[in-house]
Parts: sequence; C-alpha cells; structure tokens
Amino acid sequence: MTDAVATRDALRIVGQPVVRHDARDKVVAATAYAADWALPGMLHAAVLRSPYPSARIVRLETKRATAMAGVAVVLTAKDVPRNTLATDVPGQTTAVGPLRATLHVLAEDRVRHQGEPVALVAAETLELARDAVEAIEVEYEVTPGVFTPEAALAPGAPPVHGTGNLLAQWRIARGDVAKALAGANVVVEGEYTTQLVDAAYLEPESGVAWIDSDGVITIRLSTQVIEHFRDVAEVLQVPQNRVRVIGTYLGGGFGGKEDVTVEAYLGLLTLKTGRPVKMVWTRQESLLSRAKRHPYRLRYRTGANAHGEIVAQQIELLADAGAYAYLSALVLLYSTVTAAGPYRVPAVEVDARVAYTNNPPTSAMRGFGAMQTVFAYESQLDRVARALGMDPVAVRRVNALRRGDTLPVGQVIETHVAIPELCERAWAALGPPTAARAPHIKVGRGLACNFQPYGRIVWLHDWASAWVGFEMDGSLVIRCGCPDVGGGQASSLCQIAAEVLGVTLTRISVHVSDSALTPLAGTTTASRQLYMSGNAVLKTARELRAGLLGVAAAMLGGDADDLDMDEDRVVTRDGRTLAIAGLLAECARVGVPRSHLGVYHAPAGEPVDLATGSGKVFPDYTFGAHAAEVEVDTETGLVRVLGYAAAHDVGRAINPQSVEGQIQGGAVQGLGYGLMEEVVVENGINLTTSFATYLIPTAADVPDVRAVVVESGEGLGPFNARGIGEPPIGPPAAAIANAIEAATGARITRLPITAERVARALGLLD
Amino acid sequence: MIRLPAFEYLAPRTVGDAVKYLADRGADAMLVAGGTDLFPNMKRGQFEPKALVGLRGIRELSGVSGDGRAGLTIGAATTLSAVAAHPEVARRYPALATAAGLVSSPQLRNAATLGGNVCVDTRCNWYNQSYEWRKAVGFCMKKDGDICLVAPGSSRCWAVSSSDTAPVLWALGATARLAGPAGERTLPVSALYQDDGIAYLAKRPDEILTELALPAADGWDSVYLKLRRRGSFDFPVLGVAVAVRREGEVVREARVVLGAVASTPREAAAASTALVGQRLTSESITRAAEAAAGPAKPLDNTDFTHPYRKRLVRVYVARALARLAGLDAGPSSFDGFEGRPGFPGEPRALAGGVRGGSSPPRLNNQGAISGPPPST
Amino acid sequence: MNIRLSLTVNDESRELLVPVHKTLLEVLREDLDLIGTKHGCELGECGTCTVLVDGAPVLSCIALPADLQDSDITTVEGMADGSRLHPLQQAFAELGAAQCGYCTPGILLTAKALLADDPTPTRQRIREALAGNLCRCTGYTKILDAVELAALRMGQRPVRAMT
Repeated sequence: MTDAVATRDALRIVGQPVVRHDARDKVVAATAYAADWALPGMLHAAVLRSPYPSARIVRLETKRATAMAGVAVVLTAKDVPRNTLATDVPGQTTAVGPLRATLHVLAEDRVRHQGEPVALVAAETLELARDAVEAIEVEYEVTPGVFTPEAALAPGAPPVHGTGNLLAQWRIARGDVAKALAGANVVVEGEYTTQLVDAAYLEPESGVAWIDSDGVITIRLSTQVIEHFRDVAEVLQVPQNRVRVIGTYLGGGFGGKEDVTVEAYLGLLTLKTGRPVKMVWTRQESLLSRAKRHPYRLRYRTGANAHGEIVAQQIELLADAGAYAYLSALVLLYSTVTAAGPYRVPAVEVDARVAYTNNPPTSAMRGFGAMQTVFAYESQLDRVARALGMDPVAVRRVNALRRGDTLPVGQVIETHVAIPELCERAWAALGPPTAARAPHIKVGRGLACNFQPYGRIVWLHDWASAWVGFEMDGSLVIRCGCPDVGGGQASSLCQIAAEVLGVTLTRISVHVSDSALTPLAGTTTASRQLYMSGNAVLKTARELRAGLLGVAAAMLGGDADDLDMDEDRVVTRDGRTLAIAGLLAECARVGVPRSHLGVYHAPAGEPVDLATGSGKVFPDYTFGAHAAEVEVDTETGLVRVLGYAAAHDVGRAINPQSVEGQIQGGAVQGLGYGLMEEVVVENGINLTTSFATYLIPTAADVPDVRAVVVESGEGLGPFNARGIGEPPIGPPAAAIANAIEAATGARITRLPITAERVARALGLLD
Repeated sequence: MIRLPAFEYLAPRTVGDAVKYLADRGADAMLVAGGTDLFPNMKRGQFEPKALVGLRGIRELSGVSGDGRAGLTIGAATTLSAVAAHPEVARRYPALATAAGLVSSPQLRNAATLGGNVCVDTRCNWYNQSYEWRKAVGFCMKKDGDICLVAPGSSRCWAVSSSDTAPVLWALGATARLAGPAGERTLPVSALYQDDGIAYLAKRPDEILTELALPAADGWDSVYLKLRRRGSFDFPVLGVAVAVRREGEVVREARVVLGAVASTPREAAAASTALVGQRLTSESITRAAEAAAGPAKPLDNTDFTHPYRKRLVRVYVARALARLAGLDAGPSSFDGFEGRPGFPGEPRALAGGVRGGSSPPRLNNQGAISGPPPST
Repeated sequence: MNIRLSLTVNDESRELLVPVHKTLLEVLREDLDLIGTKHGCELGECGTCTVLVDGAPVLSCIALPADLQDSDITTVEGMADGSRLHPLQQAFAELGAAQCGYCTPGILLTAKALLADDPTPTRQRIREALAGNLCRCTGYTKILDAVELAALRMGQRPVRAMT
C-alpha cells in the first residue's frame, strides 16, 4: 500500500535555506566522528590482509602473535562463529531471493583479492596490534588469477569461486532493433571504457565497540547502514537484539560505507575479549580493501532518423565485479534500466553482464550503475547530433522522455520530465563564451543529461519509520534511524517537522542513526533518505498534529480543520492563539499522546521480467542536465574546465542550500571521475593506495559549479521532493568529453580523460 | 594512525654539533629538517633510521642573505615558502621562486626546506608504497630487495629525481656547501647528483648540506615550468628549468635542465649549446626544444607513459624559452601560479559581495538568526 | 625515547611526557584530547590535519612536537572566542560550507592564515591557499564563498556572533 502524501500550498520553513542544526558543531569541531571516540581500557585492533590477489592459504599460524605481551586476542576464520556475511541489499529488507551474495568475514582456505582480510588482532596499543599482525605466519600458494572480465568469461578461465565467473546477467529486449537500425538515417557505433574508482571520503573507516549493560554488543561507527546490526549478530551468532549499532555523523560515505566495514570485526573482537575495541583503517587500508565503483566496457549502436530522433539502441555492457559479489548484480540492474538514457527509444536491446575477477571488489558508489552508462549514452547522442548538424540542446529536446512514456524495461514515467528546460537552463548558465587565450588553446562546450533512480527497487518493499514527540515545554524531539552522511539528512527532518507542527527550528532536537533507540529508517543510500525518512517524519508529524489539534479544538471550540500550528502556538482562523505548552498540559490531563511513531511505505511492486519489459523497477527518477566549458591545450592535451553549470529538477528543494551543496559536491566528484580519478590495478595489485597516486580534485582544479535548482513540484518525497544525493555525479564525464570534441574534434572514449589520452586522440603521439 | 617507528632524536644548535652527532651515529642516523619527505617515508618503512638529527634548531641554517647583484646565499633549512616569497629571489631568480612555490601544497611548503627539496628522495611507483605492500609485491633493490621491478634484469635503480628546485638551481649555476667531519666543501649543484635511483646524491652520508649559493643574477633571466596532473600536491611529472644570459638580444650563456626525467636532474647540453650566440626566435627556440628532447629518457615508473613525457619535454622547453623571449604563446595549465589563470568571469578582487552562494540564510537552528551584517 | 615537552597550544601552556616519535597530530588527539584536528591520510597528502604553527598552516601528521616547543600552535579549538565564533566559522556555518565537516577544521585554519596575510584575497588567491586541503563533499564553491564572506565582514566591523 502507498501512503498518500499531499502538498501544502504555503510553506513557511520548508524551502528556506536554513542553517543546518549540525553546522555549529561542525565549525567548532564538536562533532564526534567515529575515530574521535575512546573508552577506558580500550583495545586497538588491526587486520592482517592478503598480499596476493589469488592464492591458497597453506598454513596460518598465530601462536607467536598470540603469545606477544599486550596482545589480547588473535582471530582467524575458525574463530568466527558464522564466517559468512550476506552482502546484497543491506538494510531492513531481507527477502531478496536469487541475488543473495555472501563473503567470508575472514578468509578460509583461499584469498581472492589483494587486501582480503585474513586475521584480526586486538592489543593494548595500536603499535602492538600492528606488530602482532606482522607476527602472524601465513604460507600462501599463489594460484592463477583472472584480471579482466573478458578473461574471466573466456573458456577455461580459472574460476574465482566454485561456479563460473559470470556473476549476473540482465537482458532487455524491446522492439525490433535490427529493423530500426537498418532504417535509420544515421547509425553511430561506440565503445566506451570506464575505470575503477574509489569513494575516497576523507574520514577513513572507523569505529569503537563495547559490551554495554545487559550484554548488548554496541558498535559506534561511521556507516551508512545501521541495519548491519543484524549481519553482525548473524556473524557472532547472538540474538539480533543483542547487537546495537550507533551510526556517527559521517566524514563522507558516497556508497563506500554502505557495505559492512569495521563492524563485524569490532563485534568479534569485543565479544571475544569482553573489552572495548577501536579500529581505524589507514588511508592505504581504505584504498586497498574497500569495495569500489565498477569499471565497465560499454558498446553502443545508436540509430537515429533525419530529425535526430533515436530509433534504436543496441547495448552491450560488461562490468568487473572483482572478487566478491557484494551489490554487483544490483549495480548492473541500474545500468541495464538506465542504459538507453532519459530518452524515448522505441527499440532497445541491452545485454549486461558482470563477472568475477581477482581485482578489488566493486559495489555501491554514488550513482550506482546508473553512472557509467551516462558516459556512453551521452557521448553517443552527441555524436548523433554532430552527424546530423544538430545542436546539443535540440537533440536532447526532441528525444527527451515525457510523462506517460514507457522505459525499455516497461516502466511508465509518472512524473514530469524536465530535460528540455534543464538543458536550456544549464546551457544558458554558462554565460558568454570564453575566448581562447592562445592559438594552441581551443575552447568548447558540452552538454550531458542523466536520470538517476531515487528510492529502492520497488520489489524490496522499502519503508522508513520515525518518532516525533513534544516535551512538556513545547520543545520537540525527532527520532529516526537515518544515518547523516553530511548531506543534511537529519537537518531536513527538522525542517519537515517544523513545517507541520509549527515549531521553531531552534526548539527541535533530532536523534538519528541508532539501531536500538531510533526507529529504523533504512539505509542512507540510493538517494532515498530525504524521500523515505522525510516522508516518514512528514506522515508521523501530520498524524501527531491531528491528535493534538483534536484536543485544541475542544479547548478553543470549533473544528480541528480550522486550526493551524505556527510559531509554537495553535492559531484559529479568527486569530485566537493557544500556547503549545498549554495544549500539551491539556493533552497530559486528558490522556492524549504527545508523541507518535509513524511508518512510511514506498510504492511497492513485483519483480519484473526484464526480457519482456514488463514493469516498474524504481519508484521514480531525478533528471539532470550539466553544461561544461573547457579549454584544451592542443600541444599537451591538458584540459581545464573553465565553467560548469549543473541543473536538476529536485521536485521541491526542502533546503535549497543543502540541495546546492549536493549538486556542487556531486558535480565535482563527477569531474574527478571524468578527469583524473583511477584506481590502477596491475594483475590484481593496486598501485594507487595513497592520495599521492589516487588523485581527487583540489580547489585549484575545478571551477565554481553553478547549481541550477529547478522545482517542478513533482516528486515522491515530502512536499514533492525528489532525491538529489546521487544524481549530480552522473553527467560531468560525458559533458567534458562532449566539450572536448566541440573544442577539438577529438572524441575521448576512455575514462579518466587524462592529458595523455587527449594528446593521443589529437594525434600528438605516434 | 600510521605511527612513526621509534627513534632517538638529537636536536643540535650548531652545524658543528650536527656533524658530530651524525658522525657518531653513523649509518643509523638520518638528517631531518622539515620532515615532509622523511616522515612519510619512515611511516612507510622506506627509511629506518635509529636516530634523527634535527636541523630546525640550527639558526645559521635558515635565511637568505646577499642580493642579485653580488649573489644570494640561502640557508638549506629555509622553508620553501620563505624562498618563494623572498622579494629578491622573486625579482632576480624568478625560476627559483616559481619552483619553490610549486612544490606540493601550501602547508607542506611551510615546513619543507630548500635543502630538503634539493635532497628529496627519488620516487617510483613500486617504491613509494607501504612496507606491507612492498613485501607483497616483492621488495625492490632500492629498499629491502635486490631487483628492479620496473626494469627486471636491470642492475641499477631507475627511481626518478622529483625535486622542483634542483633543476632550477642547476640551471642558475648554484653551488652547494657541505659540512662534514673533514670540514666544509663547496660543489656545483650540477655535481651534487648522480644517475642512480639509490645513490642519487654525490653528497657523502656524513655530510650536511648547509647552504645554496646563487651567483650574481645580472644579465640572467630564468623560468621554470612544471607538468603535473593537479594544481597542487603532485610531484613533477616533468620540470623544465631554463636560465639564459643575454647581451642585448643575443644569448651568451644558456642552461636548460630537466627534472623528473631520470634519477638525476639532467642538463640538455645540446639545447643549451644551440641557444648560445642566437637570438630567441621561434626558429632558434624550436631547434633548442628538439635538442632538449634528446636526453630525456623517462621510464614508465611515475606518472604518464614515456612517449608522452618525452613529447612534453619539447613543448615545455619551447614554452619556457618563448616566455623568456617575450614570445609567450599563452601559459600552460599547470605551469606556475603566475601563469595559471583564474577561472574566467571571476573578479580580480573582492567586489563587495559574495558570489555564487544561495540566497542569504535566514534561520538558524542553534541560536540567533544570522546573516550578513547591515551594509551601512 | 620519551621526552618532556612544553607546548603552547591555543595560548595555553601544556606540559607532557611523550615518546619523541609521536607526531603533533597524535599528541594533540591522544595526549591533549584536542580531537578537533582530524586525520585523513597521515602522509601529508590531504591537508585534513592542518594546524597553525606561528600562524602558518602546517600538516600535523608529519610534524614533530619536539621541534615546536618555541612555537605557538593553534588548532580549531582555538578559533572561537569563548562562545563567540570566528567570522570564518560563522560564515562556514551560514553558507553550508561544512557538509560532512571532516575537512572543515583544517580548511578553517588554512583560511584563517590566509586572511591574516591578505585580508582581501581574490577568489583565485583563496583557491591557491586552499589547494592543500582536499574536500570530497562540497565541490569547494561554498567554501570559497564562505572565505569571501568572512573576509568581507572582517574588513568591515565585528560581526554579530552566533551564540
């Protein structure tokens, strides 16, 4: 069932760029991140990781390490009560059927990627823990590995797991592609390659665990998913209600803290020692071992008629899952559904595969499979336009999806699609063109659109809950199990409750991200938290309001529908007021609750058969258009982004400042992806395990991003908002590639777009 | 936390004491000034000194004296920030100010010293890794192992000289003063290096680099261009230092020195020779740039592949010379703050307002309503 | 090797006995309980751990406290004047320049040093000054805006502080 959520006409606090409740703490550094926590008697933990991408563990000997003074415990796979972690679809839903993916908490007889955890140590000091890790003796027998998905799927390839190396395959077939391509006026073929990328948040994975009263194993860590308490309980083989996860304010997540990071290790170590334990990964550990964004090979054939309308797309995707499944099958599903872009395409074939290799595992990262495809479909569309002499805005205008259109997967688009106006506004926001500074400098502009699902796949039956309650003095408390990754998640909940209950923002306290004390609200992933927890708080606040106004109506006389709550009072139509404290006292006297727990259920559906293109996959999508102006040094291939504008239809901006922040930050991450970021792996060995080699943009490398916030008033979130966490990272790489072609005529099809690759495309080398 | 390994720390107040401490501890000791190269390397287990002799407390090692007419002397422990900001350096030896100002990041330059940058460890993708990583891959000859992972079968180490200031000092004809147990000696910066990734310094381990002396600047012009991926942090992928002395318009002396192309800075002698007796015209510049690409033999062990880096030698040398000639054909993207443009449309100075932000904030959860102050 | 250290941090004199090989970052966080200074890479490659030494931004992860006993060290805890925020803190809070907030302490201190050196920096000067502080969340635009706003206010008159 779907909960109906209506929109108010006149909004007072929603839509205002209010200063976030956590802003002051952050500027005075009072926010206690996971690694800032310490407890008396705390042990320090370290992980022994596999040096090899593919090897058999012949011997694992911990005696010497265990015997070292100050070492509390050394754990290997045999010490883990249940050495299996379920890794797909984290969160409150467990019924996922065939996608179920697992990995070992600690390696058993084999290691499948460099950095795979083999043993854990807890010791009195970090130095001792590291020394003990060094003292663990492991004898490996190196085994042949596979290091590209192509090699992994070749006949006779060494299997990464017992089964074949094909982890998942999705197919869409809609319309007669061969016929449509045969009749097309222009057919563009392209092969695109995207790279392995790291979330590279500045706060490394970290946490502290202890055994709290009544034996509850409590883990305070930096996570996007507090529901992993269940996974930890399974690993420890303790009842799920004996594990509590407290999520801290995160120093960045971007999907990298969606899967289990330190919590299972901390749970094990604190359970085995009975003492508090802290684990903080080094930067190298983070870059070495965390699951990353999938590299893709994307092959496209795009046919268009003389008007520039796409008539068919034939698409083949191949992704590298690395050594473990994690969320790969779902990432690939996002790619499959979005492969043809936010456009009307009558005939589409998609064949998408993801394979196991002995490379670092890949999983969730901002954009989640709907990102790699943007680089391909937006490059293709630009090439179609170029072939037909159309301008970039026009070609997107004629092809843009419209409400009521059906995606290749069979999903009908039910909300407004703002692509044409987003294109126009982003393009215009670049302002007058910049003149080239020298004869060897060429300047060009590029445009790229995208669409990104927000909210989880409909057959996961997503829900979120929240508790909203007044204290006797009229101050308000919100409890919601929503992790705040820095996007303003918690602060938006305050604005929504303030709007409905007429409470001054300064009188609201919000408690988030505690699996024991805040009602569960699901993961801060999939651009779903404003949508889901926002709707949960909205619904809860409205239900609470209805109860309170019933009492107020009795006190003031008249109908509850004629009352409003504003500025910490109840207000009648004729201007009489009742202070909130007075109302609450009356509620106490007559026994009407001053708090409420509410649950929001997202629109649900049944799994679709992709091949027959039969239905709904995601609740809705957020659309965007980015425009870039670049200069290309045609003697060196160096590219500078001179100007950048990013337009998204966010439905309704709950906090325009936070929306701008998400757009600007996402766009710059996308520019990093487009221009410089790459995890370089040679035969399974990661060569980029520091910030000196894994390069993310500095302030000197990117221009200001002009965020163009469009509010169509249509979306499934509170007050018709759409999710904006992931969407802005999608278009930049394609916008840059399109701008480079506009400037120089050279088409770049491989990410990142380094100076050397541009130089090669310009014919400067060989 | 990545801890530093334990060490004994000695903090002499004079160069004499420093020399003595270093001699006493022998091979177990290393010198430290800014620590920006040493400490990361120690954290990664690339350096394992048992004792450190700290140079920061030695007053005589810091500071700049002299002037462009007579020559300038820079203490080895002078920070790169101080070198970059020194008016006489900036005015008379602009390439040095540029190079010092382009090392890594602003924070790092506030600690890092000129002497440290001159002596900075050579780099390689297979070496600048943690102990655990190197152990996994198999140690290389530069540390803990006996083979080269970049060029298997090679009997030498190919780690790359990554100093920004070294090629400039070389091009400017600077000399280095060394203090050791046997007393002091002075040698040209060009003689301070040798082409070996491990023994890249001709300085003896018991010697301390105390100062760098620049000859008189009269008649000389210099420029430094740096290629790197980002506008900050990154070591040079290529550094090009050019110094010329002209009489009228005719070049009388020239030195073109390349950084990050070998285990040592490398003078492109043919390019230098090609310039002498010439005016700087597009033709003479092209000839010199072609000649400069000769000695550049970069390996694929840092950033970018060698065909690209080699090509960029030609382009950057030509651009450096063009700049000296006033034939500037437009700056490269990352070739220096003075050459790196701002973004178009940005005001040159604060224009009395905030740009780009959202509408002014109105409410604040945690306290007073706040916003820009009244503009009266 | 333990040494007795005398450090001046945020105008307070602090005496302590610590191993000489502890970095300033470790001493601040573990021995002086000044956890506002964050760690990002611990190799000098991200700027997260920036503090001021005699007013100049340096990387505490590769600084040795033994060398800093004659210096004034300023951490983010030393920026506000009691409950009165520094204009930079005020501007960062108002403009949403702190999102996840993890890079914020280091950026605030770097910006403080910049404005002390140049009260009216151009936007490009601000970029260059902040080029040693990685931020992964904001895309930098709001950070630059906030530094400009603070500069503007500091050049005018005392700003009403957030209390």
